Amino acid sequence: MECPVCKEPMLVIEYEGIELDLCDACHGVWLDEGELELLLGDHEMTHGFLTAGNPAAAKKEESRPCPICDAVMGKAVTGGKTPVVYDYCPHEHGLWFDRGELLSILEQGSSDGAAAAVVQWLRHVFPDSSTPQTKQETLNP
Amino acid sequence: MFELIRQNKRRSLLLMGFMLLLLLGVGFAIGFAVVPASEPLDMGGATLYLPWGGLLGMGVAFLVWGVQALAAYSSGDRLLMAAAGAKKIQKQDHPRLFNVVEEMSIAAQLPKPPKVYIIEDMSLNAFAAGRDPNHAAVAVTAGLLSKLNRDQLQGVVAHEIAHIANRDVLFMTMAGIMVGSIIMLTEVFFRVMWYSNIGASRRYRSRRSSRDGEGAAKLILLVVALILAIVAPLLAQLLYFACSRQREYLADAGGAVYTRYPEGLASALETISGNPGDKKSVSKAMAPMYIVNPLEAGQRAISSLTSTHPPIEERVRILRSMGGGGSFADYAAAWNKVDGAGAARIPASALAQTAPVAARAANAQEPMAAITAAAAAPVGQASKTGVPTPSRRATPEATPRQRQRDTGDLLRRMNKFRFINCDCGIRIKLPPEYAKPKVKCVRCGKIHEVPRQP
Amino acid sequence: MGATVILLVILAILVVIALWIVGIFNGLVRLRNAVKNAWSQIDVQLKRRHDLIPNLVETAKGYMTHERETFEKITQARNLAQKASGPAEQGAAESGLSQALSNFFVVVENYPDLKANENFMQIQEELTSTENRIGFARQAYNDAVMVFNNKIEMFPSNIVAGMFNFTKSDFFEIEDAAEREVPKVSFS
Repeated sequence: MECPVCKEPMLVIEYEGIELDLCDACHGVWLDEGELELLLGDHEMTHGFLTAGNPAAAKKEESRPCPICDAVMGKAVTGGKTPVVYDYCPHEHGLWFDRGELLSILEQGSSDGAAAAVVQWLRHVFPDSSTPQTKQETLNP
Repeated sequence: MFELIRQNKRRSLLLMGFMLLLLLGVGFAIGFAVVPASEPLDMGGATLYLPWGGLLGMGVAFLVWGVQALAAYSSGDRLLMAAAGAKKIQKQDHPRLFNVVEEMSIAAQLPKPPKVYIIEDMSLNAFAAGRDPNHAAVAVTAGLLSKLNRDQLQGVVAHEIAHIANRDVLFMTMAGIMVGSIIMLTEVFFRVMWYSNIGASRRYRSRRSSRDGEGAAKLILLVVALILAIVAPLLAQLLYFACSRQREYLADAGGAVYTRYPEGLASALETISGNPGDKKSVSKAMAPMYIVNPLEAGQRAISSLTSTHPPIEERVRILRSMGGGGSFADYAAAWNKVDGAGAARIPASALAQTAPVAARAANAQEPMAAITAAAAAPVGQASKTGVPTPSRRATPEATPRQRQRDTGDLLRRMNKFRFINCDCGIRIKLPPEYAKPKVKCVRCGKIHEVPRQP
Repeated sequence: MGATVILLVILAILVVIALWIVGIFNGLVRLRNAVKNAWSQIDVQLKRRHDLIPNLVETAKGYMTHERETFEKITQARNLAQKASGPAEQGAAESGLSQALSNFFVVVENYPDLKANENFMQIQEELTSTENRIGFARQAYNDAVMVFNNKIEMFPSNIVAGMFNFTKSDFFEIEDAAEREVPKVSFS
C-alpha cells in the first residue's frame, strides 16, 4: 500500500495486538473500513462526532487518492473545539488521517474508557505527537 | 461410512453417464448443424446416410471434456486451487486452521489430513477439492479466518472434510467440468451460427436436394439439434444442482456428526450469510463446490431448482433442530421436522453408521452458544443407550481483533512482508516495496536494519 | 451331458457363494482395520500430549516463579503417563495428567502476562488441539466400533463373522470428564 500523500510504501505497526498502517515519512495513518469502530467501540456516537464539523473547513486541503482503489477521497470535518479534516474513501475502503489527526479525534471524540485506552495506546505508539494541529499545519502547507 | 460412500458413488456414476450422453448429444447436434450433409452410402441395396458432422462433433465434445477432466484428475487438487486463486500454506502460517483441519480429519477417519489453502479474499467461503481422500485439499478465504471463531471454523472445516470423506470432490470436479464443457460448446455453437448463418451454406449445394423429402428430414433434424443445444446446458445444470444440493445436506450432516456440535456449523452459516461479500472471480462451474454459493450470496436464495445449495436459513434450521443429538439419525430427524416427513434423503445405511450420541457442550468462552447447547444437552451426559461423547476442556478463544491480526499476518507473509520485533513492544511489518535499508521505530526511535527480501 | 450341466451349475453356485463370502470377509477385515487404526490414533495423540508438556513447563517457568509445586505435579504426571503400560494403568495415568493440566491452567489465570505471551498462546493452542484430537480420536474409534459391531451382529454378515471368529470390539466409555479407564480392546 502506498501513502496517498508522499507515495512511499506504508508500514504496518502492531502494538499490543492493535494494528494500523503508517507512512514513516509523513506519519499519516490509514485505517481500514471498520477499524475506527473497533478502536472506539461505540459506533453511533463516533459517527455523529465524525461528521459534525462544517464541511467548508475542508476546502483548503488538497484531495488525495484512496491507497486501495485510487479513487479520489472525500473530505469530512469532525466536531469538537479543534475540528479535524480527514479523508474518507468513497468506496468505503477506509479513512486517512494526517499526522496527529487520529489522536486528536480520539481525544475529543469520546470520553469513555475504551477510547481512553486507545488514546493511551496511541500516545505509547507516537510519543512525539504532542500538539497535532500545529504539526499538521507545518506538514501540509 | 462405506455404505454411504458406495451409494454416493453409484449415484454419481449414473449421473455422470447421463451427463456424458448429454454432452455427446450436444456435440452431435452442433456437428450436425454445421455439416448436415452426409454422402449416401450404398450398403448392399440400402442407402445409408452417415452424419459425419455429427460424429465429428461428438468426438470434439468428448475431447473438450476429456482433456480438461484429465488435467484436473492428474493434477489432483492443484489445478482447481489455482483456478480459485488459492495459495497453499504451512502449519506455521496459521496453526489454528491447521489444527482444526487435522482434528476433523481424525474425526472423519481420513487416511491423512488434506492440504490447506488460503484464498486471499475477504468474503466468507470455503471449498474442498481433490481426487480422493489421499489427494485432497481444503481452501478457506481469509475473510472466513478473520470472522469465525474456533467452533464455527471447525464446523465449516468439518463440512468440507465430509465432502472429501463422502467422495464428493472428484465427482463435483468432473461433473463441474462437464457442465462447463456443455456451456462452452453451446456458446461456441451459437456464435458460429450467428456469424456464419448456417442456412447460407445451402448456397453451395444444389437446390434440388433440399427440396425433396430427404431435405425436409434434415431440416427437422437441424431443428432438433438446435433445441438440444438450447436445452442441454440447462438440463446439465439442473442435474448437477439437484445432485449437489443433496450432497450439501449430507456434508452438513457430516459436519454436525464429526464435531458433535451442530451449533458451530449453524452459527457459521449464519455469519457467512450475513456477510454477503461477493466473490466475482468464481466461475459458474465451480460455484457448487463452495460451502455457500458465492454467486448467489447476498440475494435471498429461494429454494429454486437452479440453486446449487439449499437455502442457508433452512440448513441452519435443520442443524438447530437436532435436539442435542450428534448423529446422522438426529440430522435426518431434524430434516424431516423442518421440511416435513419424508424430506430427509439420508441413506438408511448412513443412519446406522454412528452410535446415538449427544452433541457436546460449547466452549465456555462463548456464553451465548454455551447456553443454547447446555439447554439442549447436559454436559457429558448422553442418552442411556448411547455412547457418551468425550467432554473437552474449553478452547482458548482468540478475540475478533486477534483473529483479524492473525489473518492479516498470514496474508502479509504470503505476500513477502518482512517482520521486525522492536524491544519496546512494537511490531513493524514492512511491505516488499519498502526499499530503505533501515527503519526507525515510531515509539522508541530505535533504528532497525531491514532484513533482506525473503 | 445332463450331468455335466448340473455339475457346472452347482460349480457356478459354489463360486458365487465363495465370492460372496470373500466379499463379506474383506469388508469385515476392512472394518476391523478401521477400528485398529482409530485406536492407534488415540495413542498417537496421547504421545503428542506428552511431548508438548516439557515445552509448556519451560515457557511458563519464567513467568510463574512461585509455582514450583504445580510444575512438579505436571512433570510427574507426564512421566507417569509416559511410563505406564497396560490399558488400566495407562488410563489412570492419563486422567491424572489431564487433572494436573487443568489445575495448571487454573493457576495460569493469575498470570495475565503469561496468558498474553505469544509463545505460551501457541503452546496452549497446540495443547488444546491435542486434547481435541484425543477426544475426536476416541469418538472416531467409537464410530468405527459401532459399524464393525453392527456388521458382526447383522445378517448375513454375522454368518461369515462367526465362521472366521470375528469378535465385537468394546466401546470407549467415559462416565465423566475425568476419563476413568481405558477399556480392554481385543483384536482377534
